[in-house]
Amino acid sequence: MRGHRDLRLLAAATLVCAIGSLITPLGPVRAIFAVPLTLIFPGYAVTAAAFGARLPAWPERLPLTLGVSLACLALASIVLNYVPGGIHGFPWTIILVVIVLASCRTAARRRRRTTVEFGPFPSFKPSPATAVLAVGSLAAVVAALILAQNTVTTNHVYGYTQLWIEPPRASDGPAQIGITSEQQQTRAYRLMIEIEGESDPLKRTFELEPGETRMVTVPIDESAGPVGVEARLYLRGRQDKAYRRVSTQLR
Amino acid sequence: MRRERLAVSRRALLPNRFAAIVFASGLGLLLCSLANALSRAGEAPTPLLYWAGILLIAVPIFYRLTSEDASPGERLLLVCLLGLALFGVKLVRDAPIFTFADEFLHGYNSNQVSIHHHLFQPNPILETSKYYPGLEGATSALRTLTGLSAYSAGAIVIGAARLVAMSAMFVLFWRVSGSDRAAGIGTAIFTGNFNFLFWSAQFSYQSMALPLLLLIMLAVVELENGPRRARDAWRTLAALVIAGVVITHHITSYWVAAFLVAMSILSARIKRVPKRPNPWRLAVFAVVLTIIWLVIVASDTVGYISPTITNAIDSSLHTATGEAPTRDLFQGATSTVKPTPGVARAISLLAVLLLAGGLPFGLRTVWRRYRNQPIALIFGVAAIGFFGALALRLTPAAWETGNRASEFLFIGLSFVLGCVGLERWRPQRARWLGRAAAAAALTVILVGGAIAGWPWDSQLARAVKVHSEEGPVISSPPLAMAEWANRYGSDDEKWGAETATSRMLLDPGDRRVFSDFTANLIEVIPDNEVVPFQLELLHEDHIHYVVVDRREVAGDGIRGFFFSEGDKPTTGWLPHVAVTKFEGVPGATRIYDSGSIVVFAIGPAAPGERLKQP
Repeated sequence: MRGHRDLRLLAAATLVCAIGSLITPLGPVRAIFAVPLTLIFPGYAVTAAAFGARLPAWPERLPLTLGVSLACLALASIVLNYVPGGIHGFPWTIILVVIVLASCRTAARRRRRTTVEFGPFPSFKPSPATAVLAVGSLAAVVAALILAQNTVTTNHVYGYTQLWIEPPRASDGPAQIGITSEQQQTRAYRLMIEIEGESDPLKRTFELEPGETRMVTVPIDESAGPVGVEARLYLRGRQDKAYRRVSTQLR
Repeated sequence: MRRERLAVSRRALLPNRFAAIVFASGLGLLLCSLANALSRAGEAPTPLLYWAGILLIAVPIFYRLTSEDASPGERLLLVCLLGLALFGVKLVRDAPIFTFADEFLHGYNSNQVSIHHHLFQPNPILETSKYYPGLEGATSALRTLTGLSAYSAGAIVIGAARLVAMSAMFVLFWRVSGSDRAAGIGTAIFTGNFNFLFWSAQFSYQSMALPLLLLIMLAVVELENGPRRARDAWRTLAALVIAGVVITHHITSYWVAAFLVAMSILSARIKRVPKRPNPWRLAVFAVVLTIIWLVIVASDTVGYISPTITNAIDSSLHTATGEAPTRDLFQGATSTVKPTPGVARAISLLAVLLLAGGLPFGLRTVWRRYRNQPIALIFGVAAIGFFGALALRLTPAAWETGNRASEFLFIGLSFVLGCVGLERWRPQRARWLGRAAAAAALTVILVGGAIAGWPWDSQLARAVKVHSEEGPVISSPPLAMAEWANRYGSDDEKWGAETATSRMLLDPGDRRVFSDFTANLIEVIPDNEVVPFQLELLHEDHIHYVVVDRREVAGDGIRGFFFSEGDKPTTGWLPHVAVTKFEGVPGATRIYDSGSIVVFAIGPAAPGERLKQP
């Protein structure tokens, strides 16, 4: 690849990104290495290999680089699917490095001693005002994304409460009744669990904050046969009507 | 000396025009994000805030694209900016989790690839999607290398695909028309297709495949018109991308094959000097590869697509002959959804009128200038075909087919309308009028397309997670149920649910959930009784859990994922008996109850079992 600066640069950047994406501990930081490694380098390298010394102008290279990268990723995933171990990060890194380096080598061989003309590339000499606008644009986009990620506070939506039995299917293990509040405010509850064969229902009263979960274990005699269990949840102050109801058979 | 100094300081104060447009786009995106945040908070912001954001993004770009003096490079950057900024509008609407019905299906597929490290994992709701794993395969590269979620990695992949679409379309139109101005305007018109703003921006296989189709089109045009020595390179890259499309999306692969066959036939028929290469080899490659993939890998696709097409044809015939009523446009899906306001309808219809009005002028230009180019003729036919697809929107069972087809046909329409040349109209008294009219028309087409393509009441986000009045985060009923199922459900058990809950049970629930026509679920769940044959179907399909969602939006793949708003009536909810009917099923137990959503565990079939009265 001697004499082909773009290819040497591409090969070096590929290796740096491959190593960076493997050893960097934080996922979002790894994305800085992984995005060019997956979405830019393969497409550029394969395009360079296909065209040799006659690379198209940058308007063509832009869709080719990204589009061919996407096609390469889709096709390479089929190859990895049949590699022992399947689709993991390390095989992905290897296959991408192989695609890029092999393509760079092919491109260099096809170019021989021809110097590639890259054509005019848009010059970038920002005035101070342009730089201010660029920073402002970046700030606006970041603010838009942060605002979109932000979970809002609202009292315009209906809160509710979940009541469930765990495990959901009849089993030999101990059963539990779970209550999770998805209410807007702290609510008080009364839980009544009727167990087949027991004269008195099990009663619990408690309060739950929004997002809080309470688990109540159902005491049953494990030596007995199948036992029906029904749990009713009441909102405190409304004892006449069951708010939630679940039932199951325990073995 | 003083004058020179003034000139320097003036240049420093005057920003680059492109930078100003980028800034306007950033502000527009921020306005859209603010409108969505207010909507999630239930503050019912004025729609003007959101549409002002869209206009702030689009209008400066449109106006600049109509100018004479912008360079091709600037136009290319402008259309890329337009595509990305409008993709940003979709991103700031997200939760940020998947909230579009198809995204849950592909998010589930992507999660399955991450869990099992192999492609072709079954998808219980859309079985066909597993045979076209290109999108999930590409996303898996980013996910395995970074640990990002399906949502985040998917947004990056679809964003890249969006850039491919905009840049490939611009260069394609430029090469065919020879005018970068017409190419820029044509590409801008494409953003007015009904699906551009939301549907085609979702994490779904067509969102990646359609941009690759545009790249194939570009390669074919370069093959014809470019330098002889570069032909092999274009052919090789086109073949690579065709293979990528074939494994990514069935419908797009058929369009690719149809396009290449049409190109080959027209290239053979049109006599040109000097003779141009015929892309027949690529056509044969595309047809053979598509058939091989369909027959060997994805044979189930035939059973998936054929009823849709058959129903569309039958329904169209019934509507045309007056046996069936036409589909109402702009109507709410349920009784609680208000119809689209009159102004919005008017803009949408005006957009269609502008498209139709420009068509004859565009076709005339195409015929006069480009009729010796096969692709220009194909674009002309597609432009006319778009209005045929538009007619399908009036037919209840065919509107979806028409909607899907319209996006492909809109490529041709965009080129044809880009050739109209309204921006070149310069009357003596107002030389700016042509450009202003062209920019205004582009704006109406964009806004009208967005209104026609997505329900008015769902343009803005709704909440799936909010901070409660006391602070902690609470989830919408279907999301909370899906999270519960994810925690307590078992991997080998099957669930049955209607559209909204089923999608969330797929992702983030990660459950094997069936919906729609499996075990007749869409009829069993809302019915007031379970009849014996329905119970048999549930047992035959080994459905372990049935989710009864009483909400009116349970079957709504657009509105069903969110919180119910405090002021919405519950009159359209299923009656209690629709829930309690399962208590009469022998062995069934009611294991989850959140008021609007109840889950039943269906016991195994017992010999001679009979339904009990609840």
